[in-house]
Amino acid sequence: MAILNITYNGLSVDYKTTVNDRMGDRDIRRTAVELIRSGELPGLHIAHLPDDAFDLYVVDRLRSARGPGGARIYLRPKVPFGRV
Amino acid sequence: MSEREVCFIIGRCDTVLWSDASDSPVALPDTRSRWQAIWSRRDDIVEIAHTHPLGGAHFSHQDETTMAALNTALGRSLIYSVVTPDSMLRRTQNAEDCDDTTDAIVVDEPWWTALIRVASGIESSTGKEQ
Repeated sequence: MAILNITYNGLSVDYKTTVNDRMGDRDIRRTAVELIRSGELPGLHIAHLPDDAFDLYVVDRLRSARGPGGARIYLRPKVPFGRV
Repeated sequence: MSEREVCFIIGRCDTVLWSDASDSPVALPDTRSRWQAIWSRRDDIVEIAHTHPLGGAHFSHQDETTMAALNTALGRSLIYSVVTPDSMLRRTQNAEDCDDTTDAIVVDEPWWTALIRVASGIESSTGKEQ
């Protein structure tokens, strides 16, 4: 299990309930959209958040040195630049 | 020094808040540390600049999608710029319309464009004189 953190609209929020750390990236993005639509994340309630809100985001998975339970999943914007 | 893309995070009064570099002249790959640097300095960031050492004063598709992602995450639009050997392109947002942006070549470049060109391995003979 892992703590899911979502950064959106200037806020970075942990979801209060742990999520399955084996969820795929697409499911993480879908889950994030639903959490924000339903107001499950403090300060981040957007009822009409578009389905593609996190298409340009990266799912960053951090394992904890303290073992299972301390893992975190960060849904954050991608940050590459480049000529190509 | 071989050419490489470099990213500067710029704060108020043209202060360079943070920088990183790739080992490629055409790409600056995604890194967690760059995002952490941006997020931790979010209240102070004015502009994010990167170089195209081989030229090309335009925002690539990669640049466009990253800028969109960052603006979404930060909840506000930053200024973005591309520095090439001989020019600087800057994108600014219209204060009255969040969806309206302007791209313009900067004639009077800030001091740090000389530094980012050197860091990118751009030959001084092709670089802009300061």
